Amino acid sequence: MSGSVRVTVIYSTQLRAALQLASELLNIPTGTRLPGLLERIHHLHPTAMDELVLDEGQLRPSILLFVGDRQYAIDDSVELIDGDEVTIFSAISGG
Amino acid sequence: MQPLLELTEQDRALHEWQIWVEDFGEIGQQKLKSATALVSRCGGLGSVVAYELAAAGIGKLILAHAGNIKPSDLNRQLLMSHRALGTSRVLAAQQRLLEFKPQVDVETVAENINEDNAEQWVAQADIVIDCAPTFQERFALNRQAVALGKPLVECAMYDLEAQLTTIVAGQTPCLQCLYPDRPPAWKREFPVFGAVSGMVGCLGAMEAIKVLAGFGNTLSGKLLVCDLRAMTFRTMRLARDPQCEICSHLGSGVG
Repeated sequence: MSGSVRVTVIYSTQLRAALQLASELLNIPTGTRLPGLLERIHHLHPTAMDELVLDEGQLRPSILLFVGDRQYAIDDSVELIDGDEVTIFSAISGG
Repeated sequence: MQPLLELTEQDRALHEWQIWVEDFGEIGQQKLKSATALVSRCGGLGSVVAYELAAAGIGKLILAHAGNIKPSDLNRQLLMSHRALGTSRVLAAQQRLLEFKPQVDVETVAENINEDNAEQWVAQADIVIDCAPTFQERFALNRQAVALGKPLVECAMYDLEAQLTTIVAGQTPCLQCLYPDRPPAWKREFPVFGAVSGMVGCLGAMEAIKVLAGFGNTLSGKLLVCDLRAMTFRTMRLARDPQCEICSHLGSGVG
């Protein structure tokens, strides 16, 4: 498999605040799944990802992943396609 | 289910404009009048939830919130007042609500929800609206709402962002399907505007009104995500966790 696809990654709440970034467009190899995308994001933003999203390389259980409007688990075999929007939510509450 | 309370002429006069809503009507008003809502914390979110439910004619509110009013509460906690600084939050909230709508029965609980008291208060409610800042409180409410089969409206906010969902035991993901453990990155104090908490409180109250009166489409199994910095609203579909220690024994649902 060769080539690349472009996906938009949307950051929310604490992750958005830490990155000072609401979203970004990434080129990733065709066939990339969610773990591969997270590796790519970790490469781009290691400090914030280590602090908020990953724990020793594994996705923290308080993080929700969506492709489009649908929630996926990190190990769901969803292959990202050109134009996908991937949203990373971290848990928030209230007050 | 208990028989619905009859409406008085005063009830009709007070709520005439919403009784005109066709799929709500007098029956919806009777359902609200006959209902009890537990609001966990009456801060930025819960103040507005309680205020809107009182406005709508809910029969009884149970407000649970420990502590006294601080200056930093007053950018968002709309049932508090400058004059009441240093006094009990729930008593200030009760006073404001009764000035506005003396027909509502307001019970105050001067403590936060926890694993020890959650069952007692959730059992007395027809619906729970979760406006608490800590995940210990949220998990205690979720556990009891699932165990007792009570709908639970989850209101959350951070900065200019907000999230809202409705949990129905056995039909939707519960809170611990979404967050199995206490999120380590969440901090008790966080940036927010009162206009954000007020918006979420109104949405949470509307969600509770629809669930109680049985009309409209609710956020069951869906997460409403609001970004007031960009003024965007998205609705996401949530998934149940088949391994969830709280609700997986209840079988499959729509989530």
